[in-house]
Amino acid sequence: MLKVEGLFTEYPNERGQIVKAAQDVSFEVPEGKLFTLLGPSGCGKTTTLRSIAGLERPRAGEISVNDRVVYSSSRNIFVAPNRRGFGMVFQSYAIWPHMNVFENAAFPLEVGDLRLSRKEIREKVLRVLTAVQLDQLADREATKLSGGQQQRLALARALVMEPQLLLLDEPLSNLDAKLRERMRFELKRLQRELKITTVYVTHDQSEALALSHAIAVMNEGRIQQIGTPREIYERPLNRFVADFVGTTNFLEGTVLARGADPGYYRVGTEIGQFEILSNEELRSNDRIVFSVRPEDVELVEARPEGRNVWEARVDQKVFLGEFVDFQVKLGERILLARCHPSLRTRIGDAIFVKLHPEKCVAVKAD
Amino acid sequence: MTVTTTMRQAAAAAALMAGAALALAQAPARNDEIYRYRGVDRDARLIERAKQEGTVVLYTSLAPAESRPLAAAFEKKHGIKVDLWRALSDKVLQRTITEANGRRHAVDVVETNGPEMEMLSREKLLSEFHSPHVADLPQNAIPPHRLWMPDRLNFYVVAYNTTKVQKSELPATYEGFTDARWKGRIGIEATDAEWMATLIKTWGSDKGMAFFRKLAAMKPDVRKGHVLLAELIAAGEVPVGLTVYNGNAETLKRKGAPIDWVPIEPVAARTQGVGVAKNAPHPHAALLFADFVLSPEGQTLFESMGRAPASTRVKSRMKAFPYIMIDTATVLDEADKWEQLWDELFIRK
Amino acid sequence: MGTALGRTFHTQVRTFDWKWIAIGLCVALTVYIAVVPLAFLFWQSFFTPQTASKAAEFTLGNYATAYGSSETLRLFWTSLKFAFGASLFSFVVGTLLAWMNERTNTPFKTLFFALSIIPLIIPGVLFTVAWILLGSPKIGIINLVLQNALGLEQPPFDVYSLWGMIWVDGLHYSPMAFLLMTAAFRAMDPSLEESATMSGANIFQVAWRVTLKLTWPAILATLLILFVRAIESFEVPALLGLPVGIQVFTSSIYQAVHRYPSQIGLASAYGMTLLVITSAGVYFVSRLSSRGNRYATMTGKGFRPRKIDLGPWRWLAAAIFVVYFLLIVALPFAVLLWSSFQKFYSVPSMQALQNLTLDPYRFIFTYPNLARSVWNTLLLSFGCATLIMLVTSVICWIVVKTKLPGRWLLDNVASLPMVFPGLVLGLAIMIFYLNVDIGVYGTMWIMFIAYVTRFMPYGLRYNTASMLQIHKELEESAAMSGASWATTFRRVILPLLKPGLVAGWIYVMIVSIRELSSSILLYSPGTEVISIVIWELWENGQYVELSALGVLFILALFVLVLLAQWLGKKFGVRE
Repeated sequence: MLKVEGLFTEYPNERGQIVKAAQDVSFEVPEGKLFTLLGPSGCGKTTTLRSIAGLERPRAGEISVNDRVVYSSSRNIFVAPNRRGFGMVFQSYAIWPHMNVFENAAFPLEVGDLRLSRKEIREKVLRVLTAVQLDQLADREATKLSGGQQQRLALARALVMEPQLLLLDEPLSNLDAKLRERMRFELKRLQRELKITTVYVTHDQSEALALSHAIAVMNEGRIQQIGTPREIYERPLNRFVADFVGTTNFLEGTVLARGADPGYYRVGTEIGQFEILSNEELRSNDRIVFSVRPEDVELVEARPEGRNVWEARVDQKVFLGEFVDFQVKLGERILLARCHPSLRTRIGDAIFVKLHPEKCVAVKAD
Repeated sequence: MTVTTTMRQAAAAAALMAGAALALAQAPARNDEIYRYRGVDRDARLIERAKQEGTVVLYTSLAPAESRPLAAAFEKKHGIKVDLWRALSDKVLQRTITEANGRRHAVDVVETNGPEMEMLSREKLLSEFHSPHVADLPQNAIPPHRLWMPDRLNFYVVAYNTTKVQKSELPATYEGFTDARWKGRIGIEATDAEWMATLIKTWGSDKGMAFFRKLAAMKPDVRKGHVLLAELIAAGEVPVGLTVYNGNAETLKRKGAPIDWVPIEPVAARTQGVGVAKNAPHPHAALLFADFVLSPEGQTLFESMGRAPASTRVKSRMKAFPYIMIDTATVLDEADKWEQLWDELFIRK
Repeated sequence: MGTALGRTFHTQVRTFDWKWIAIGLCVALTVYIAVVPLAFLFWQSFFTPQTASKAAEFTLGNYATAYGSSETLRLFWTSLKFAFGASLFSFVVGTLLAWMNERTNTPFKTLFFALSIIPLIIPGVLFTVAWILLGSPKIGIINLVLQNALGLEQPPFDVYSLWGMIWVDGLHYSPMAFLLMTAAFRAMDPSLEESATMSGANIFQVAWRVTLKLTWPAILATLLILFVRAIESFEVPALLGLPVGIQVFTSSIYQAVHRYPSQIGLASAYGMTLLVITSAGVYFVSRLSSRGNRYATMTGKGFRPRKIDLGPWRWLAAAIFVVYFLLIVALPFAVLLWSSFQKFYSVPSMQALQNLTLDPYRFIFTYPNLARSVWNTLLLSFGCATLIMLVTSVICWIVVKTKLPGRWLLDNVASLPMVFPGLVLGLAIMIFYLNVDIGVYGTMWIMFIAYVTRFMPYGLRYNTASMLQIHKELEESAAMSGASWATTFRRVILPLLKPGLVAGWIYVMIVSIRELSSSILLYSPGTEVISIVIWELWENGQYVELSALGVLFILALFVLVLLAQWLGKKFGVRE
């Protein structure tokens, strides 16, 4: 549906230096899916989104929606943003303070080429306001809305013209934690119900994991990895992705030999030998890094069966209600493990660590 | 230019004020005495004491092109510094009156238009003074109270653009301009009610009013400012101006502009005057300056700059024709009446 | 303010907050500066003139004379038409250009900012005379050229008409609207416009339905100041209106002052009308500002203003720039340049071409006290612009951001000096400091006071336009970070106010250089300023020399602006 190919976007900053915001960005979003651009601030995700919107003019590349090319450097096509018919929600919501809720939402229907009657506009606006549960507040001044309401209004405004593509620029970042969680579900429900193709920009990995059909992790203008939330989380391609998406433990080592099953390898580290999984073919003596998530570090007081089992000592622990975070010392290395609160081993006591080989994923060392 | 210079100037100004305050104690009785002294040693005594005073403060509406050479000539002759303050005549009046009301006696001598000099007299800010050169002035131009003396004359003449109008075309009388062929070619200045008043008084009410009604029917171009009018004549915008100061036209003519002027009778003359301040801080220098302006030397200087000197001893092409003096006091007293008529005839259309 | 004040109430107990000293000083200065002439004029309006033979008496006659005749009504009506026309015209032109300059990718626009200020520095009389020489039906160059080219019977333009007056005055003051609206546009969060674009609105719909609607308070403030200035203007009506019998309200004021005895009381009574109009306008604008957050658009989110791609339209926009540039800068400048090489002004011709001379420039460079005048002027205008912008930033902070009772009055008081003709204002200041001798009379300080009084309202308007758009949260967050009021003001408010501050500073600086009507009364030997020189040349009929000075002025300003832009670029400051 949305296809972005070889996108390069640059702009001069205030001192006139060129900022390379997006470098060779390519991806595709199938019809009805929610695609997330995830990355730290300044990684080029917003610029990429704005390039799709038409608010930035890329230097090179091609963007098309349903085979309609909206930008192509080689064919010299640039469709003006207001002609692209995409809905967009801005980080600041950009709710117009001089209009009330209804007027804000009705604006896209009034300015476009649709030429709708007053009645049709009213129907459509009320339908979309109902969908975001703002129908009761239609006559309220936009400035009198709470943050969550403003966010929903911005969404309603973006949806009212039934766009082919919905662009969301950090739509939840201005909300408090509780509200954000609720809106996350709302957003997901709406998107799934309307089956609207969506590009979502965020720096919050849990948001990305919770909402997306697919995620592109970006850093320094380039896409690092594209995949489903599960792939991104469980099979990070490189150290940056593993580190940025969730917390993780990194261990460096050297490949010794292939493992028993295909894709598995034996790796020697400062602690000892591990059996790990790699998406890519590895050879003996390759220097590698592998990552293991804290929740995949199993702690048991009695020595368990299986591979990758080590004896360690509890160094620190933090009770978090739903779980307990343990820091355990494996020789000189500290590993972070996330366990069920029923585990009550005391600090200083010995404990056994078990790392399932399929959870120890080799990543590129950047 | 440095900050120190500015500070020095400020200090000088402060000193000037201190001097003014000191003078206040002695004035005005002593000043009057100085101004009216007629002893044989008058000139020598005046020069000597003026030199002791060292400075004279002059407020004038005389254009800098003329006031600067005048001040320079005086400084050169007597070695007394002239502190020159230049502004439009109404501002000269305003500042002089306001300073006097605030008891700040800074000005020594004032040189500006007749009506403003008359107003200063009525405000009792000037003193009668004796000068040996007064005898050379046209006696009908000297106000009866003798609080100021005429030093220059300005004449309302007809000026024309030499590329648009031939001299031979010009009528010999003002009535000639009410001929239809002058329609759209004549202009007047916006504030010349006193010119109209003088002509009507000279001709008598019937003839005078008849002429001005006819002139008004011609709808002459009205321009604000005599200098602008002369300038626009030279530029060809207004082919003929009926109320041009001959001094302004002469200045342009001397620069080579296509403009010339002719006196058409009756020529109304406005006086400019000089007077000494009753509370002058430098009374001797003030009187000496007035002396200088009225002396043949000062009057010749005016002549050389294209201004008509008042003194009968200095001949000038600028006044080599019969003229009638505009009565300054009457102009002042009847201002409302004439200005109303003028506005009715020429301004409101 | 709520939180900021709340905080200070707590800390006040422990340490005295010098915030109150700063605020107090600014308020005291403003009130003092504005109220002195105001009280004087109000008082005067109830008295007959004082002369040596007759003391001033209490009277209501001034009001009877001023408002008892149909003549006043007629003049007033003309004034209104002229002021509406001129202010609307300059507003439309200035706003269009500001929008194109700030929001679009029109070619050559960087150069344009510099060029657009040039008309401000051309003295009013000179600008008007240049237009007489361009648009007069008899000698106007444009008319002559068009008549020849098209074989017209009648000259196509007549500068001597109400439309001519509106045209010339509106053009001359369009840079003022340009500067004010530039500041307003710069202070706006561009995502508000972007979201409209994404909603499918085209450029004009975005500009009309979002940009302009959101800058509404700034637009009203701009229109107000343009209107009041136009109704107070004198040069254009005198030079262009009078020849065809169009008289305006201000001419009554000038006539009253120029009578003997000077009818200051009558002039003041006339002035009260302007005062009422301005007060009403200020009240209206401040009512809007009190609903400030509706329009507060700068939210502090990081943004990089996007330039709208006009596509092929940008060449049309560039053409508008060029036409404007021709009309307001190039044509008058060409007239000035032409006449500055003449011995006297003449219509361009082959013959006149042979008379070219450098004499006017020689004359200017040897003009006595020129260097001192330039220095005095720079000192005064620099000091005046800086002080005004700083003080009014505090004043407008109080007016816009606090809920103090009477803040509307403060705004009004500070705005009122705008309505008094410079001459009357100068006179009021002169009389006051002659009688209250604090040693400023006869020094530069009295001119400084006069300039600050005259131009404070303009500084206030420029600051207000920007202040309205700063969201309260920004300073609240600074206060919550533990910053004192002074630090918040210096580190948060002033930098955010920069668009308005800079535009206002430039404006005040330039109009101070031009200020004449009160300088002429207040200067003394030694404190001459450059506008006195301009006036002397004008009164003397030395138009060609004046043109030469005007040309030098423009060139100096141009170099200055280019230098400022270069420095700005070098040190990474957005203009």
